[in-house]
Amino acid sequence: MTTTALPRWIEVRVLAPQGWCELVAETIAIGPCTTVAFGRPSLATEEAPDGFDFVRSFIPAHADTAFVRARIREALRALPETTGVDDLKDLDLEFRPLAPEDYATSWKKSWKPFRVGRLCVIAPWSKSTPRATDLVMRLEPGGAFGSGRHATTRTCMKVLLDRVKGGERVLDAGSGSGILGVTAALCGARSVFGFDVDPNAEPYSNELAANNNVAKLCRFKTAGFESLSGTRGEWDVVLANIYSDIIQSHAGDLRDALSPSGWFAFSGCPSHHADPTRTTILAAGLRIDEERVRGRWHTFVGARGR
Amino acid sequence: MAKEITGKIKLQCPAGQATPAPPVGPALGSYGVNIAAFVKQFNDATRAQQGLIIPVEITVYKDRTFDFILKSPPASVLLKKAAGVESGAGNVGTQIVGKVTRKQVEEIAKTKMVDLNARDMAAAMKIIEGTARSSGIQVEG
Repeated sequence: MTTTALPRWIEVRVLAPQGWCELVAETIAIGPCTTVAFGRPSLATEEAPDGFDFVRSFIPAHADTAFVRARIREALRALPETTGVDDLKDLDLEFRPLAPEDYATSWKKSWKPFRVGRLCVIAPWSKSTPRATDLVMRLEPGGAFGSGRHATTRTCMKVLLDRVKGGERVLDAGSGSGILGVTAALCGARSVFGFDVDPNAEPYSNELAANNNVAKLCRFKTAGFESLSGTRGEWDVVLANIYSDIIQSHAGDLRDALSPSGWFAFSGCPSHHADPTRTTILAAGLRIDEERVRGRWHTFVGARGR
Repeated sequence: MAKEITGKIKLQCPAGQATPAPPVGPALGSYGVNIAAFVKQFNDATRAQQGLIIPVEITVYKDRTFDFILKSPPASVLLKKAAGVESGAGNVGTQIVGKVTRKQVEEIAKTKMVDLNARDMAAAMKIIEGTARSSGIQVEG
């Protein structure tokens, strides 16, 4: 698509006294555009002076007429009189044309594929060509869930790539986007069960599994640790990339879920929580074989037995 | 794990009708946020309120994920509701379309206190009263 085909917009920018931004927004949102933004237009724009904030509305270029601009000027000019508030006199008003851009797709430019070992994580629209020996995960980035770039997620993914041999039954406690469960399935796990209390997680992770052709191996559910009740030693791999206080309070449940010959990876633990988390894991009758540290995040890998 | 916040974006969008057009596109795009995902989630969350303008505060994290909270409706909407009128005055300054009591102004000021960034209740009430006058709504008492 050429830039000439893209719609053009005019930004209507007012520097308004804080507290009055809503009313100013209503005043300048005239015509076809009713959406308004508050705050600094970009990181390159100077901060508004103390006590003021930017209020911005937008007019499509085809509707940007002298008449519309006059209406906005007049409405702003009338504000001190209609409100009885002198603070609203002589507000700075600017009309700025924006460079044409396809906003529905331009944000995608900032998303680059990334690699964890031989696993290449790419967006569905990515044109990158993975190596023949790569595992490939297609992931729609930037929604409510992480995109696998967090240190704890990457470490867990690397642990899975290093340790999954094929045929394992995997439990993912606090599965979120499902990225770890799907990684395990791509690595050859026989089955994956993930649960998360966030109701948005289940559809997102099921879609991720489907998009990566492992839906038959994966089951994700909206649930908490109660979903483990009655299960003992069923899982060859137990993953928990969650808040470390939850790991601490459910260390016993996680241990019980682990098969006698299985292994675990617990992550999401910041440095200042590492000591109590380590102590709790050991006290639960688990053994720590490895502690991987990435930035300030600790990941504990181990098995049953002291 | 606690996620690092890289930005907060405040918008007002028509319920159920947000689009990637400005300001949504440039505001979120500058942080690398999935604009289509926000538009879909916002529209799903506000579909039942079609016809209203909904203030929304979006928090963007370092991994470019986001979440958002819907804020209280604009003061003018609350005032019209309190006054029992459909729309504000066409001829502001000369036309009175409805009335609210000082008590109602105080209630609205309480609701809007955080959003208005007002330093105290008196300042918040002054803003609500000004908004009422600007909408052709008279404050009684």
